[in-house]
Amino acid sequence: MERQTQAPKVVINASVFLTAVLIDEPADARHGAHRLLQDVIAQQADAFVPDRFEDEVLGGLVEAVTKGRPILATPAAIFSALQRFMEVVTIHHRNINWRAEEVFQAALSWRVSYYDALYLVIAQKVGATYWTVDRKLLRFLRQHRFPDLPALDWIGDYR
Amino acid sequence: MAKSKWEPQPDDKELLAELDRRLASLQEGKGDWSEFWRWWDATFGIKGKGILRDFLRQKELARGWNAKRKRPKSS
Repeated sequence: MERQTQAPKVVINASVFLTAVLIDEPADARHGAHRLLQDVIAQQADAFVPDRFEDEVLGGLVEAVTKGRPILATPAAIFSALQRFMEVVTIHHRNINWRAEEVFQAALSWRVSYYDALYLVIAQKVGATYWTVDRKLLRFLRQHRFPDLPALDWIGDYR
Repeated sequence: MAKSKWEPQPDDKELLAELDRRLASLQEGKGDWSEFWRWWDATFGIKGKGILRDFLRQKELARGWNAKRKRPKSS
């Protein structure tokens, strides 16, 4: 088998980061999230996220610590811990790497939310695979077979 | 003293320093990721069922897939 010389490009949805701390979520999704994050840390994957990613993770974390129970660290420490992983991803910024108009058009064309489209547009631009926990979104996009969609996959199937 | 669920605690600093040590070691190719994730769960994990499902449900609503269209009234 030929050895891969270039690290694969990945776009990571905020749900993948959240899965890494939500210990009661299904093991297959959690293991996939762990494998992806360790590849990012070990520079075996080039990760890209939109500039709203951190806000989205924070929003999910507020929800998680309100509904759930942190095991040991405080919510502030959990967020700081997740930031260690965010430090090694490439952030794509509005008006620099992506424009609102193109995301808006993509959302209408693919019939997804504006924020789904944002991740997908970035994946399309950099030639990355979009990784998410959201099986419903994947099922919808696969059923419709939009010709210009980037590669996308469920996090439980990562490597 | 009871530990507040919300306020940053002095222990947090130590936990994050330990995290940095472990990540630096793994980046150098030392250490075991399985052991790291066990420690991660015991340290930074959040218990609770259905949290991710609720998070994803909000996103689903933003797609408007469930919106029902009103039929125009026939004259």
